[in-house]
Amino acid sequence: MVHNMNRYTKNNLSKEVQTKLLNSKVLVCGCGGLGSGVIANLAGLGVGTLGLCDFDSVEITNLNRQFIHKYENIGKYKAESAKEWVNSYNPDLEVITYTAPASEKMFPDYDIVVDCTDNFKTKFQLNDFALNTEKPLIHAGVSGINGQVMSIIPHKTACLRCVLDENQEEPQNPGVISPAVAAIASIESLEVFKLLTGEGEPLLNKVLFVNFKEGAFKTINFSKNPHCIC
Amino acid sequence: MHITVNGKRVELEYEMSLGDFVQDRALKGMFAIEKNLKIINKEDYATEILHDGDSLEIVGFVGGG
Repeated sequence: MVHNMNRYTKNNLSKEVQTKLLNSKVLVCGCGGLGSGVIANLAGLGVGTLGLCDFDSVEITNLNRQFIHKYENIGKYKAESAKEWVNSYNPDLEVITYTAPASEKMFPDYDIVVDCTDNFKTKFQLNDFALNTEKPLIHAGVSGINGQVMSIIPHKTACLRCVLDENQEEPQNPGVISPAVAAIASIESLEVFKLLTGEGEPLLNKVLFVNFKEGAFKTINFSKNPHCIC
Repeated sequence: MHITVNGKRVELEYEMSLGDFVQDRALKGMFAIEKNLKIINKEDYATEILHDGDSLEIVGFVGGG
């Protein structure tokens, strides 16, 4: 793929770092609220290959926050709709779509996986796929005006099972407003950037909690749980 | 005795385990608890005793996307 490097001038990155991004492959699991923000950010950064995974179709109730999906795409697979957006925004990128639930066999083809799913059952599954394939995973969740983000290097840093018990009750998820989900998606995207390029300090062994109502950002340190499967 | 929970002073009638505290407060959902700046593993809730002056930070995880 030939890239127009002028497009990335305002990223203000060295040629080496930008080239690293262009040669990177990121799998985004979930092309909904978090996915919209992550996909848009990664396309802007110039991540060369994007895997887009979602078996859902676009519904009108998605359009308050899932801004990469157009009204006329209602009924279309979100992964395909997202690919359309990426192709129109940055045609230099390679996009691979999956219109089935995420599976472990997708992971080896990518450098990093981003969890943009909307339930803990799937989040724990992605955690386990990442452990089994040794692929870094960015976890995030958002609801109402709260959210959290953490990065996981399998077997080296705390994983989702180190910090949470799968048997705890799944929290209610009544919905989320666009600015909150976009902000959490941006933090996830920054984690992808940091892990791909080695720039900055990723959220490893720590979880960033954001409460937008209070304007509070709180980082809590975790460590690998000796009882954990990881 | 008094402990601090998410920055607020809370009175406890007696020393109790963290597990009893969680049950007593009927904490639900996906959460983790930091006691005196150290995360307590779920497996240790029953044996982790709360003492006067302890500080807890309870953080809730959300699952939407």
